[in-house]
This record gives sequence, C-alpha cells and structure tokens, in this order.
Amino acid sequence: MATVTNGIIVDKRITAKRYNSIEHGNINSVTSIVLHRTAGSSATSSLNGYAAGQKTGAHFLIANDGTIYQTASLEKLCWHVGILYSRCADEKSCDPKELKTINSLLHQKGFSFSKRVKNVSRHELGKTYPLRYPSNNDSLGIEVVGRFNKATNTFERPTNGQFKSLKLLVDILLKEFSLTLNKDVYAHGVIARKKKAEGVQLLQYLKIGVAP
Amino acid sequence: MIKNIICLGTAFFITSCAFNYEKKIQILTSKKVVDISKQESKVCDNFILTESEITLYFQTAEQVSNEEAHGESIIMPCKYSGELTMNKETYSYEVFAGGTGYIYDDNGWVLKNFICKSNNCCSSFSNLC
Repeated sequence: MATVTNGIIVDKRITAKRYNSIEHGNINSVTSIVLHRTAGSSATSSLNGYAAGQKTGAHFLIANDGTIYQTASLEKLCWHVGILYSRCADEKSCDPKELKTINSLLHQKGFSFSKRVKNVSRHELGKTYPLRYPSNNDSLGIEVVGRFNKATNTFERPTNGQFKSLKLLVDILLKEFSLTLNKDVYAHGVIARKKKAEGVQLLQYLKIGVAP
Repeated sequence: MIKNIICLGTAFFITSCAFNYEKKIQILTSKKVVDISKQESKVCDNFILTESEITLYFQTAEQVSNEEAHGESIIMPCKYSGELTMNKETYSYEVFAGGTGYIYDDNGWVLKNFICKSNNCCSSFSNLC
C-alpha cells in the first residue's frame, strides 16, 4: 500500500532519487498526468543529466528494467510540458473569436516560429484546465526510457517491465489525486510541440491494457 | 611559460567548441514534408530551406545530448528530410521548422541531435527558428 509523505511516494517498488535541479517552485494543484519518452537509451543518461544540473525533467523516470525512480517531489513543479498546442483548435471547439485570436498569434508577421508558438502557448496558459491541455503548473510528468526511431516513426516499444511499472505508478497517482484515466492522462506528443508519437504507446497500453 | 599555457588552453577551447558542430557534411537530397493532419499546417507555407542552408544549419546549430534535445526541442508540423554524407558515410536527416534537427543511422536511430538556439545560428536563416 503506497502512502505519500512530504511529496514523496513511500512504496518499496518506487525508489526516491530527488534532484533539486528539475524542481522549480511549488505546483498549484495536480489535475493531470503527462506521459513522456526520454529519447535516450538508459535511465542513467537521464539521471546523469539531472545530476549535472539539467533544468528540464519530470517527476518520475521508469528504467528499461521497470525500476521506478521518483526524481521530484509531487509538491514541486517540473518543466516537462514545453510549448502547448491550443486544445480548442485541436478539438475544433474554439468559438470564432477565440479561433481568430489563436490564428492571429500563430501567423503573426515579423515573428519567428518559436516566438509565435510560444505566444499561443502563453495564451493557452490563461485558460483553466481542462479548457486547455495540462501545463507544468498543474501536471505530473512520467518519463519512460526509450529512443525515437525514424524508420518506424515512433519510439521503441517499452519493455514489459516498463508497461507494468507504468500501470502501477499511474494507478497510485490517479487514486492520490482523484483523477480519471480517460480524461486526465495525456501523451506528451499530443498536447505539446514534440514528436507526435511521444507517449502514445504508453497511453494506449493504459487504456486498452494491451501492449502495442 | 604562462603564455604557452594560455595558448594551449585557447587552442584546446577552440577545438572543443568545434566538436559541437558538424563541418564535413554534404546534403545529397532534401524534401519538404508537411504534416497536414494538423489544422495549422498553413503556418508552414513560408518555411523554405535550400540545400546550402541545410548544410549551413548543420554547421551552425549546436549539437546537444538526447536529453537536452528532448527537453528543449520545438517540433513544428513541417520539416526538410533527406540524405547527407558525413565523414564519407551516408545518413538520413530531418530539420524541423523551429530549429531542431536530427541525423539518423541506417536503422533509423538518432545519431546526433541539433538545436539552433543562439542568435548567431537563428539569424543565419530567414525563417528557421
């Protein structure tokens, strides 16, 4: 039975290995969970990056052998989401005025791609979840070790140990924060400007119980 | 003596910096690819890179670790993709609008990650970053 003490999950299946470099102040509230892939080949390379002072990172890391590391407190904010898509634009649910605003930010002349998409993301942050996608301020991130492959246009298949550990961890977090799997757990590539396939296999496994 | 140490240190620093960039790259093919599944794909209309600009990209963008690329990258729904030679070997590559690029090995795994993040890099292109 897992318990949470001072933002750390106390459970023999989860190893606390906290890194100050990826914690950036207190998190407002936890409304959602974002599933990531590391793009690296080992947990060690991610942990070494954190130890070297890397600022970006997520609350958890699941190694190839299924070991779960808690790398940041549940009470702290991590920079794991990046630049958000507009949720209503993706879901075709924006009212006409809002869609016009988003399009004007996205196509604003004289600004670089990065500036324009950052402006859209900033605009999204003015909305409350779930009107927008999860942000750093209100979501927990889970990194699962795995590289991207261009030939298959997806990330390498997580190991069975990773799938099993992910389910265990997500079940603990859903219960702890009263979240629902179908509404509050997201693949990173769907919500932010990253590789589209990032986290998709993980979410599919959690939702249908079958490893892709 | 001190002068020699400073000179050696400077030479070492310059050499170390040079290793973060790719100098011996030749672009063989390039094709613009746009992900039209995104409603916003029109944003890609003015994303144009010539083969010499793609070469310049790999010479000026900073080579970063998998972890840094993962954290810092911005992936827009458009890219230039193709083949290049590096040290006489052929590889495939992608350069995304927003300034992130990759070189892949024969099996499709990422070999090198690049991000155009400095003003020096971004200002070398009319519409990359």
